Amino acid sequence: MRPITILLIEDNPSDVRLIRGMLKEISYFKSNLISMETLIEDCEQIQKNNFDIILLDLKPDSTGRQTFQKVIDCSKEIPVILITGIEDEKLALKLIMEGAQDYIPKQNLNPVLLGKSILYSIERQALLRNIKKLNVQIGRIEKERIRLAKTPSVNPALILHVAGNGKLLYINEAGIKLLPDWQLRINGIIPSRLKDIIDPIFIEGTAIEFELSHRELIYSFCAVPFIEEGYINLYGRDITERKQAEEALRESEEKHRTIIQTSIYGFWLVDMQGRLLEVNETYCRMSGYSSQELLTMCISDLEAVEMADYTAAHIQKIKFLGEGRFESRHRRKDGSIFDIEVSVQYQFVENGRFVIFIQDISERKRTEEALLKLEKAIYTSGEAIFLTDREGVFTFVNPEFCSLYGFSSDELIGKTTPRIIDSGVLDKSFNKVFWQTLLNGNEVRGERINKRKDGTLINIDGSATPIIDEEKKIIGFLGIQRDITERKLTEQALIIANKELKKAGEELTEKEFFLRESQRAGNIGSYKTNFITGYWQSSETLDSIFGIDENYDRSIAGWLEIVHPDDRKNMDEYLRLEVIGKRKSFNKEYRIVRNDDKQTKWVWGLGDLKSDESGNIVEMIGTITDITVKKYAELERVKMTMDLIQRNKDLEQFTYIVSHNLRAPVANILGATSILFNPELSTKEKDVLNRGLNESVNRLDNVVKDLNHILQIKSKINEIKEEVNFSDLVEEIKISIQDLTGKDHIKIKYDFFEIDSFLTLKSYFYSIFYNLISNSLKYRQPDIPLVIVIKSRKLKDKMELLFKDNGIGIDLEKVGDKVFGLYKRFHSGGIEGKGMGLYMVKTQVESLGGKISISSKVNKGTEFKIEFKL
Amino acid sequence: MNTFRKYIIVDDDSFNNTICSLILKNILGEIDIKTFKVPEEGLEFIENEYMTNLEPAILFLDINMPTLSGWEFMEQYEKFSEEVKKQISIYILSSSLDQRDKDKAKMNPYIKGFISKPLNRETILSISQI
Repeated sequence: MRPITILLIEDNPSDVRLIRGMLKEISYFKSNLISMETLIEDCEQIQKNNFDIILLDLKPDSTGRQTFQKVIDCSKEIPVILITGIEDEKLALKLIMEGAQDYIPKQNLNPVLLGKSILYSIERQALLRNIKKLNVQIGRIEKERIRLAKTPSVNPALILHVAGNGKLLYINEAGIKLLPDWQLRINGIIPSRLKDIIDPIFIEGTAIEFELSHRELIYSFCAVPFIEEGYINLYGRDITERKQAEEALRESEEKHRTIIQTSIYGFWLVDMQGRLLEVNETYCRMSGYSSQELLTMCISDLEAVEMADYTAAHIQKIKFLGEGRFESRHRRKDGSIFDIEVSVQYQFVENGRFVIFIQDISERKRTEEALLKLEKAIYTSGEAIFLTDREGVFTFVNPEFCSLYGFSSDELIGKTTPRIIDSGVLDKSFNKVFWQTLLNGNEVRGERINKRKDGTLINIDGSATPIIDEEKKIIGFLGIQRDITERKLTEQALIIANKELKKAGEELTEKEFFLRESQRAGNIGSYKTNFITGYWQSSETLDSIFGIDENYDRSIAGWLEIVHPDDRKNMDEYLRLEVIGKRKSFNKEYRIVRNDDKQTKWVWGLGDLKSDESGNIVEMIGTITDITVKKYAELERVKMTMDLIQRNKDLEQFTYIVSHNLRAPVANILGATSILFNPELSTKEKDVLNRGLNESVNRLDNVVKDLNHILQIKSKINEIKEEVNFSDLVEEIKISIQDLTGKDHIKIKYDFFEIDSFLTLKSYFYSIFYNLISNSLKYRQPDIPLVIVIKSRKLKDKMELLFKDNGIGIDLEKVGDKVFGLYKRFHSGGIEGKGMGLYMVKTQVESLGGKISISSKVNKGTEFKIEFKL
Repeated sequence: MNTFRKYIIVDDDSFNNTICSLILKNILGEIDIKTFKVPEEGLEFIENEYMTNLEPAILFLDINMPTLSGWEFMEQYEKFSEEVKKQISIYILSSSLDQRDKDKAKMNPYIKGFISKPLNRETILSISQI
């Protein structure tokens, strides 16, 4: 082991001696000690002498630290041990942090400690040195790793090795392509502009990428330096095409951007969260925000209608559908709202985004609203409005127009021209001027007479205007009209009224008195109806006949109000159709219900129509006379007459019965007796005659009884009425006809659900039910079981009883109204019947105030219907 | 002097028919009498029989019958051919005393007379002569 060379920096000679002595005591290593007082001038010597270790006496003042720094700077990798005073321990510890290996307080100095510290320090320093070396190596390896990582992974087209002085060391086949152009050759110097780029690489030692263009071609290079080796590898690729594509893309993007920026539509690019990624200038102008502001915002910050939740849902919906178009409203920066139409396109890029174009439709909305208002105005203006095309065919009519003329819009639009409302009464020249003005492009205003669908004429005030396009061509016509018929009539009426007023006042008093008193005496009222105004005037007497005061509504409707409800319809029609329609005088007796005491009166109305010069009906003047007393007397007379006629008819029938039905058996008796005593008669013949005689006498008796019965009915009507239950009645009759029905199967069904009793004469009702049922029994079909159905029906003001059977029926066409006649029979042979039953039924029904009718079909059945007023 | 040998009676009253037959036979002896209770059957008989029959007949017709009155009978009868009608002499035989019936009978050209029931000897003798 070679001796350790030790440098001791110590200015105290005794300390030097002490340390030298201690070192000599150390047996396990040999050492050469060289001592110095200071280090100031000896830095070079330290480096030259290759000291293994330095012992430094650390001065307690500031020079100690400076000295240490200098030693470290000079010695670099030589370990340093500090020899310190007692008080310097703190500083010593600090300096260990800065590179000293150890420190030994002077008072502790002994050979063992010193020797150990020297050896440890040297060993430690050696370890440190090794670590540093390793670190450098690791760093280099790492650099190489990074360099390799930077090397293009794509197989580069060009590979060049360039030395630090710019000499080209290697170039591959592909690179040779560049040779003629760049005048490259192995061992030649590369062009200066390439050299200028790679020179800094040698200095900085880091790889770079750069592009170079030559002629039309563009190359991308990656320069990787190998500084230790002294050259740079250049990997190059021709990227001309990629560049061109990029350029084209950039240009097209630019173009799109320009389009978007200059578009009249607002533009947004929005992500799935509704955040604005891009906006254009147009939208900035629309919203009043700057694009910087907008790019920090979401849809919901601008949306003025949709709630945020809804917007989120809307986004999802559009994502699903791929696109959407809707109207909404946005809020400007100043808080005002504007209407927009939004058109959204979903783009499936990255996480998805929306391309949104926004059109400000506030103006359009305002126009639409204005149009709506205009349309409403047209519909509700109260004026009749229509439009036609150039040919005059209706293209629009408003409801007022339809109701004015009585047409439906379907009848007009596209089907006909305003000629349909032309009355034809106007002068031809009038229409000529009208059309000339219109076709010259001018509006025509004024009054005219038109015709409604029902033919009535109406006065019109209005205008017709040609609709003219930009080229001054007529494309249609607009008509606005107002019905002034009433106004016209009022005007006329006013004129007449004025005339009348003038006349009045002059010759009133005496005449009026005379008139009033004579009217009162005769109960004759007078009136004057003005058909232009629709109102009538009345005399005092008429007012008292009608029971009205001066406030009563003296219109036609007011008159009809007084007319008795049962006569109202007739009188209305009489006035309109007969009197006015046919220009006849009014002459009618009718009932009124007085307005004040609601008494019914009969009046006789007379009236004459008055026309103006052109023949139009203007008014009616006439009288209304109270004829109640006379009328009732007359009605009484009519009733009596009717009664008399009926009595007479009854008598005639009675005569007829006497002459036929009473006379027939009498004649037989006479005939039989005239030959009964003839001796030539055989016993058998005598027998027949006797039996016939007996029968005839019985018949005679029956007729007399019937007659008595009938005469009784007509006087029995004053008997007391009782509530008669129909079901009970039918059951009672069922029992009484048991003998008649015999063995035959007979069904009598009844349904008195709707009404099952009636206040009437029981004996009559019994007779009616009995006769109708026995009628059905008599005329039943021989081989079909008889079914009789009796049903009651309750109608509004009457009750009906229906008797229906399935019997042989009657041919009503042949028999007619004789069915109910007395002693009328319609079936010869076999069937018992003397023509009494139905006559009785009819007489009884009628004397109870009811009606009976029959319907029947031969071999099907017969139905009798009896009606009684409730 | 010839008398009618053929008689037709149309009346729904069978007792009347019996009486008439007895009286006619009693006065005129053996004669041919047809009686019809149902007038339609009487019409049918006349139409069929007198198309060919050349022997004239007297018809006694009642007025008041249920299905077809004497007047309705006449309406049908008038539609027959003249061949048939010229052989038949019609007399109304009715119990009616009503003048209107008598007037009505007088108005009808095919009705020879109106006889009030019952038939008696004088009447029979006066009409049975041809």
